[in-house]
Amino acid sequence: MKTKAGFLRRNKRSLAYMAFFIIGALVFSLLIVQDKSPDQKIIGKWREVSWEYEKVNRKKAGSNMPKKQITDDVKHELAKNLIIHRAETWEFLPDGKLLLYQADGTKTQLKWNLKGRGHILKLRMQDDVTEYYDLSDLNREKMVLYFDVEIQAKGIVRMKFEKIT
Amino acid sequence: MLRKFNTNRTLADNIKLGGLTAFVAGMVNVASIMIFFAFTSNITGHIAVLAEEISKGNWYQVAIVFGWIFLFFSGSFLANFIVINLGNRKRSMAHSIPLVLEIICLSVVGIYGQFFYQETLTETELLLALMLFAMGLQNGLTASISNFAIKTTHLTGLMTDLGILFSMFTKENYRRNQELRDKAKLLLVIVSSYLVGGIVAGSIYLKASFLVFHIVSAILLFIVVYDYYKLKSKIRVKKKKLFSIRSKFHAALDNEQVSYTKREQPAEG
Repeated sequence: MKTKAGFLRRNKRSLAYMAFFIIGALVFSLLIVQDKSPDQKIIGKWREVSWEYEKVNRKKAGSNMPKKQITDDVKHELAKNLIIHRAETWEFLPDGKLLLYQADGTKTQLKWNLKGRGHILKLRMQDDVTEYYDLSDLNREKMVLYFDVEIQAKGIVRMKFEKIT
Repeated sequence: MLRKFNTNRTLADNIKLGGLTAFVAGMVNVASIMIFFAFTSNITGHIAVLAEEISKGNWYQVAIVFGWIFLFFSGSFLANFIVINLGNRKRSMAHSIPLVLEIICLSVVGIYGQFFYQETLTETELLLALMLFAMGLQNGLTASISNFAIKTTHLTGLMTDLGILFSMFTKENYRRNQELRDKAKLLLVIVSSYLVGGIVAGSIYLKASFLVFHIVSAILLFIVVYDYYKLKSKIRVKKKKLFSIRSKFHAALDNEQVSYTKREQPAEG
């Protein structure tokens, strides 16, 4: 009788452990089917809505720095050394290509990848120049990217996009 | 390094194991940040990220980060499970299995990364999952066999202990306490090895890229082989001792028989 009780207790414990790991796997599966992955969400055409300073190093930038909104002139100055220079519409294709459209109709082709848990956007030019952007927000309508600007402003810039298609 | 268990371990055993595994953890963590933009050896940051993603309602990211944390936990669970279930019969083997599994995981990361990695998000997430599982295995093993004295993959608790120890050393009686001094020595070795591992990985990453993981696997393999070699030589020494005792015994027995025969001979005559 004692042995049978011990056997049942041991089996109960093993079952509890198995259940724990199965529940863990189930929680993972349930969560993952709730939402699309960031590399699926990002596919499509996005239009730049605004450029804003998220943080500014005022000591380096000087006291006459604008508070938040970045004007077009400053934006072009900040972006002149970036891959994304003067792009207004970004089109992410599923095969890892990114097309940047400028207002004058010119088109640039890049490669894109997401890193980490999908929170880092890596952009690569044909000549292997690489830039990384923080992808802080991504949903059906909106995408927010952050990047550190090293020139002039020395701060963090927030780029907002809205989805076109 | 691996054979001895709990209180049977000496400071030298712990320093060797702690130093080498912390070096490995430092290398893996820095390599994972540089290649995949995510930590793999510490869970505190992932818990914070999990909370952040839950609050934002990003359920896909919640699933991924939850999966990573769960795999680290599973690695630690499996390592200790092997140690406590196989340890009584074949201790050396039981202590090596988690390291062998870790070597397999990290070699897969290295080989896949070198030859097949297309930088897709799914690949990145899966490779990170393997690395987190491997780090869980390592931390579970070292903590388990050293009676929780060695934890090599994260340094928060370790820095807390070091802070406490150094403040204790302001008093003469604690400074003279050999046990506390040994503990401080061990913790300092772990911190510095982790740091050096990180620096090495950071420096060679640009040239070596995914080869970093093969170097890490080679270090882990050295730990396993070193222990196996030590065990074999110990067995050889024991066998030799046993053989010499047996030979002495037989020689003594032969002498005894000779003298007995000699004593018996005159009676026969």
